[in-house]
Amino acid sequence: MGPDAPLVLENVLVGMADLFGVDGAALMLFDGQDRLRAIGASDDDGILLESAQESVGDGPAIASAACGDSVAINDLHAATPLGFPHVAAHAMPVRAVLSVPLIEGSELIGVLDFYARIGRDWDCAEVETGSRLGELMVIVLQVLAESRTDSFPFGQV
Amino acid sequence: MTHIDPEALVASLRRLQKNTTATGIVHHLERIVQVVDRIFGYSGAGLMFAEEDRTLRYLFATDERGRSLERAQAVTGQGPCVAAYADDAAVTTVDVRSDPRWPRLPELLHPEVRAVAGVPIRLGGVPVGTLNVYQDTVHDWEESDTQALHAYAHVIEQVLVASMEADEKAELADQLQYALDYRVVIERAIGYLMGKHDLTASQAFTGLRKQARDSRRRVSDLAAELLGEQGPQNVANTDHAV
Repeated sequence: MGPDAPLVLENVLVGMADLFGVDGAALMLFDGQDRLRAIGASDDDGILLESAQESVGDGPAIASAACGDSVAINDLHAATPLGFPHVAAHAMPVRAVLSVPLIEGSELIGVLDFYARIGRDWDCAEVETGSRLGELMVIVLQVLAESRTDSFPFGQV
Repeated sequence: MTHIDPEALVASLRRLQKNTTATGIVHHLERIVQVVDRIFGYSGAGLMFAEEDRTLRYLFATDERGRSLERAQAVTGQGPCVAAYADDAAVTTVDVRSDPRWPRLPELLHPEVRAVAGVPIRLGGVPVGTLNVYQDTVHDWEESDTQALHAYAHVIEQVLVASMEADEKAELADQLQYALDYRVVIERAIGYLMGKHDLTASQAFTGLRKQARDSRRRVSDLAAELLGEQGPQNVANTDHAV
């Protein structure tokens, strides 16, 4: 992975959130042990959302990965099954979440979350747009994987 | 300081890398343009890149109508995408067929290319090409349209950046140049198939791509073979995927 990969990914997440007209975008990916891990987000609230889901082991992204389909949550703070209040407790600013599965070939590789700080309905067209942006994210990840080397020159690993 | 965990990213990319075969930046750009088409619901989309002399040449388009738009601009040196590149700003037209700014375009355009928008693609803040979309009807572009296209172009820029590790810049340039060069061969093969089998351009291109995919070959290789010409396999870098 090149030295700019984290920056590239953050820029892409910011760009996707802008494109979609939402407050942010966040990414979770499976690692080599088939664990869904929080990778990053376009801002601090997205980090909270992904970290909460990873630590609680539940949430819209986890549900999306489990069913292999999009999961649209109008208000994360709503009572189960409409919301995920135990996740929301750790990601207070986030209200609405749209989670779309990331499919590479026929394999599920992760989940892309879009979120808003006020509750909202996600209509069919928005869910479709989210899925298309998920396709775009898979391409970006493939490019990053192909440009990756084992030298990890940014030094954090 | 980014909002990305580099260690987690490495772990996931390592897994992804094991499962994918490197296909090259041009292939990825083509897929990205196909996605833009589906996201926005436009009639078509395409990419143009500049050569060293700053002349725009088209890399690919999602359909034959879009190809006519990009080809017409490459031939005449004028049009909304050429202007977007030259001005480093979004350029739109409600109906390119009646736009007095580019009087030479209509005669070369597919009749169903009407409203056009082009936004620059930049590397290091400098325009290197354009992302182009068109509608097959007259369309009044809104600021939100061009903002979304700028955002999409920004994602394309990030993909280019990801491919441009310091020691890979020459390879990236080679791949883009290769795609620009062999697009001509592919177009001629499409013309050949249209004439031989009485196909539309779209049918010919789809068939060519399918046959290339089925035989795990590059479209450009197959196109050259159809024309009985020397194939691009003789080009030094065999990683190009067009």
